[in-house]
Amino acid sequence: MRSITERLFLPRSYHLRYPFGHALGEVGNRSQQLQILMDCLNLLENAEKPGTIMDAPYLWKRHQFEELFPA
Amino acid sequence: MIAQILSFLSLQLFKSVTVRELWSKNHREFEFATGPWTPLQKPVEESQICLITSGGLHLNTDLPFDMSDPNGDPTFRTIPLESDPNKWQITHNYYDHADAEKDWNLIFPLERLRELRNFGKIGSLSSSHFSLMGHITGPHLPTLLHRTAKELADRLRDEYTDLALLVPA
Repeated sequence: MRSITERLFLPRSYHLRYPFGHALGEVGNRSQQLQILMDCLNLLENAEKPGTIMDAPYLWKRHQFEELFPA
Repeated sequence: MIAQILSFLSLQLFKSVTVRELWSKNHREFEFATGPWTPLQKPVEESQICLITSGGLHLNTDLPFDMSDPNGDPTFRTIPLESDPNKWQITHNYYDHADAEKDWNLIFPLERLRELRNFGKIGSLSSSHFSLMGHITGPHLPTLLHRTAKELADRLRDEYTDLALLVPA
């Protein structure tokens, strides 16, 4: 919930508009989960000030995730 | 029975992202004008990472989170890195965790972080990871902020954790 995140002024946040209980996405979607984690790791490297929020471009159940790492 | 019906309706209602966002605009338990900042001390590829979820996860041998208190439970549970996921469970009545119980990675992506460690994207994983239940209100908020958060920070420091990834549920 972006508005709460803004008010909390967290150091670095990654924002997805996904349903409760699905922070990393869909059941068994390994590519999606790894992509989201990689985005978070990149945010750690690239954020320059507290309160940084990165908005994920991935729409719920509408984005096709590519395999970043072989299973 | 009425409480159970209201709880069920609330869970269904909050599945809507729009409803959730409308609710969150008026949810002002905490508000800060500035925030903490610690620059990275070393590359992520060399860092030790700890996972913290607010999904109410715990070992089935641990005391479950207290669902009898309408203000929630501000304590935390430890999930050891080498614990058996078959012995994990969720105690949290304020979100639908049916999918998370099919795939823990949705709220606690330890399996995926293991893979990223094996691919060299992170240095290592802490030996302990942590879980809270995310419905905490009223008198438990100061406890969360001033006691639980401090205890958690102490645990992270004791384990030489470099980075903490907080995953909301």
